[in-house]
Amino acid sequence: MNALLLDSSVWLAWSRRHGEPNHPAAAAIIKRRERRELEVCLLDLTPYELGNVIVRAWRRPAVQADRVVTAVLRIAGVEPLVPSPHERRAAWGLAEEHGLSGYDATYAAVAQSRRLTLVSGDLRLQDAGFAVAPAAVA
Amino acid sequence: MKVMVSIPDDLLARIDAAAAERGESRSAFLQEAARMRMGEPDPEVTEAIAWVEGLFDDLPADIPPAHVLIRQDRDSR
Repeated sequence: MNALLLDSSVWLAWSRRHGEPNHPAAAAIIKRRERRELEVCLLDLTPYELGNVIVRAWRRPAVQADRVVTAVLRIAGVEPLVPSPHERRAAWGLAEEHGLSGYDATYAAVAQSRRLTLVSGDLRLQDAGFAVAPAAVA
Repeated sequence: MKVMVSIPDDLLARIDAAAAERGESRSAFLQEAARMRMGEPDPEVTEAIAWVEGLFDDLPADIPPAHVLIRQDRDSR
C-alpha cells in the first residue's frame, strides 16, 4: 500500500475549503485514506506547525487548533514519526547541501529513510525533488 | 460468528507476524483486511473528517494559502 508523509501545508489545505489551491487534491488524498487505499503519516513537528498557522496566522482559538490536530492524528491512525539520530544527521546534511531549513530537511530525510512519498504544497521542496504536489498523488 | 477458512501455512505465519507487529489479534487483522479489500470507509477517519469540515469556512479570502504560511513559519524560526 502507498504510504504518504503529508507535511503541514497539505493538512492545512485539507482543513480550509476556500482559498486553498491545494484543497481539492488534499481532500482527495484524505478521502483515499478513508477508503483505506493508502496510508498517511505525519512528523512529530507537524502538530506545532499546524498550531502556529491556525492560532497565529488564521487567528483562531486554540481549541480549534487542538481539534484539527486531534483529527489529523485520528486520520493518520499512527503516532507521529520521530526522527532517529541517523535521520537527524541526514537532515542536517540535506540542509547544508541544499540550503533547506532544518524543518524542510527533516521532512525530506525521514521520507527518504523510510521510503515514504513526501507530499507538500511547498514549491521549494517540490523543486528540489524532495516532495511531490498533492495533485500528483490525489 | 466463527468460520472455518483454509489458509496456506506460510501465509498464516505472515499474517500472524503482521498482526503481532501491529499489536492486533489474528481475527482483528483479517477483519480489517477484508474491510480494506471491500473498500469500506474507515469510520474513525470519517468521524475525524467531520470534526474539521466547514470549521474555517469563514476565514477571510485574502489570507495566503497554507503552503505560503508554512514557508514563512519555517523560514522565521
